Amino acid sequence: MRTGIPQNKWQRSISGGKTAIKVGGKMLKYFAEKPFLDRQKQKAAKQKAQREGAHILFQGLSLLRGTALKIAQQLSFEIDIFPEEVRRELEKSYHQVPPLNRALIRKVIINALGELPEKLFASFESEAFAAASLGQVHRAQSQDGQYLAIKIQYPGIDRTIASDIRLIKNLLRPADDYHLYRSALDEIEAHLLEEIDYQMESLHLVYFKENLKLSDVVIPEVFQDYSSGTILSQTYLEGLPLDAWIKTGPSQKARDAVAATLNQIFFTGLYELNKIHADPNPGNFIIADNLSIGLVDFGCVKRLNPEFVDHYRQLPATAVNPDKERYFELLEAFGMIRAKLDDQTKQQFFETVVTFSQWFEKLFVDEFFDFGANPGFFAEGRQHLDKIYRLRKHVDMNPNFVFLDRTRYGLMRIFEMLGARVRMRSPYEWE
Amino acid sequence: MKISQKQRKIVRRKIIGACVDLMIEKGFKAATMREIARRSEIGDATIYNYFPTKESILFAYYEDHFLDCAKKLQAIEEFNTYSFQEQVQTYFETSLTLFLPDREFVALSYKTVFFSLSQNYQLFEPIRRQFLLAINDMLEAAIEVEELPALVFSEFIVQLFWDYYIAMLAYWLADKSPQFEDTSILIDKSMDLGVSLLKSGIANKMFDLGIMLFKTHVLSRLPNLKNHVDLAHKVKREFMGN
Repeated sequence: MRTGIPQNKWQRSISGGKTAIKVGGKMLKYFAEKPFLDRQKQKAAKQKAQREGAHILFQGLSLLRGTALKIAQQLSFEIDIFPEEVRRELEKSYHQVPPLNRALIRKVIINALGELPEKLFASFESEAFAAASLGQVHRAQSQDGQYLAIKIQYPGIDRTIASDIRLIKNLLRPADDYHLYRSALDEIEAHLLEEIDYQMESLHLVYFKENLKLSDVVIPEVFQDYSSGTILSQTYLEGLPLDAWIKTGPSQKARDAVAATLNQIFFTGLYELNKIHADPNPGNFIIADNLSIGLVDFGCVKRLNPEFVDHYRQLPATAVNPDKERYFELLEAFGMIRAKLDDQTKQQFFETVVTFSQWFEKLFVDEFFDFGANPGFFAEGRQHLDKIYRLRKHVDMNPNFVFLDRTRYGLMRIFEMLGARVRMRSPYEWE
Repeated sequence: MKISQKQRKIVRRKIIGACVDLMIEKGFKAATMREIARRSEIGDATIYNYFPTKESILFAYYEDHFLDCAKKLQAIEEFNTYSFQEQVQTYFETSLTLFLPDREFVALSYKTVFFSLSQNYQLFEPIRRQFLLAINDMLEAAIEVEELPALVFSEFIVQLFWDYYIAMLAYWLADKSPQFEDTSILIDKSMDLGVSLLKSGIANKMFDLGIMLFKTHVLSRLPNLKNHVDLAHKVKREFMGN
């Protein structure tokens, strides 16, 4: 049995309200105890209150399901507001959007395209073959015999996003580091709205099809006649999603080749087009028999300005040869440092970054990095990254970083899944 | 001249169509039988061969509507593989889609028809029966394939769907969301809830509860009750002078 998303905002506010009251209660308990605790304990108690608060917030959000749950997931990736176990929970629930049954699918298609599926298509499979973010994907055959993948969105999602974000902002307003949440939330809202805008996605698809010309990469074609704001029809790509493909036990050579192509997609996008496919979910890469990679789901495409890309290009090399002054110059150029840092904070910041870099540079020591021979490499990096995020009081998240980092680490996670040997030294970043 | 059955059907549809148009343009009161006849290009008197009153045209519209719905559902290839929820939901959505061109007419007339007084009962009953038959078929099929447990009072449950349908129709008529998608969401969510209640066998459980209460509180008092009845008979006899 599945329960519904409370659709109207008033209802949603009730369940938000419950959460707010609970969070407030925990914080109240902390304030009530505060005068009786010494400094050290005060700090621990506050952390505990915040942690419990995050837990309750998560429960409240998962009650709302749909978009709110997705926002919670994304927020957890941006900022470490949730403890580890909650974060794991969130990752598991990544595709928990309400599914569309056959009655609703017919309705959505007739609303969007003006005709019933059996009239539009030569055939239409009413069982979805994949879950998309906030929707699902069906296979169909066009009247002239082409196989299509039809992505369909749950009705009314667009109207719930704005109210969900407002709700979460209200919940988080009392938090110390609200400024951080707010910029992250603004970014997430813009991103979610973009992700459900299938017209925008079809523009991205067309753009990448025309501009990302790599020999082993296939980008599907959009069928405008069968597409609208809530339905996107594209060529169906033969092959297996990356995670399923790994399970078939491909050879080391095949895995290395796939990893190399993935890397190439990322670097070419970033440094040639200044636009990246920023959703490195293994399900978005379809591996064909000839090892070419089909790229699907262009809902999350990030455009970066050339100046930012130019600074970013220098980052890996600078981080690996830590020259303190040079590094801070770079961070300031990104607009990441807030106000003037005192020397002590600067030192603390720098030390954290150095340990991070020591981890990071392992990637670049040899020509190839063997992810298969270094299991747990990524988990270690996550710890270093968490330390950096903990310094966030002094740092403003450059929103470009959010997506770039997620894409890059997402890719590395995939390399780890592949156990691939990958040339990490990109000619764009290492002369 | 005797006209064929087919011809009669065409004229009947024409009259209903003319009535819908006129009501949308002028409202129920201003649309007269004479005007309806003229718009459907038949004689002022001929119309009475088809419909005795203006109301009966309204009822005929809805009767035809549910017949059309049933035809649309039969045309769906995989319909028999749909779950009970999907079937009912498709039924409702098909009905609303068919109503769409006549939405203003439905808004004007549905109260007259669906909340009709007893004088129109004869006209109203075929409409309701048509709907209930369809739902009953779907429910029986779902029980047969064990998608739903066998239900006590299944007739009563089928009738609940009628009230539910009217509620959804009323919501749709007041819905201001783009393409009335709020109605679709409401139907989806409420069907979810309703079907999971049916699956949980809630009606059977309520029946069990009722039986328990009936047994302990009514049946156990029957001997007492019998005394009262006997007493009443006695009084009655005395009163009647026996």
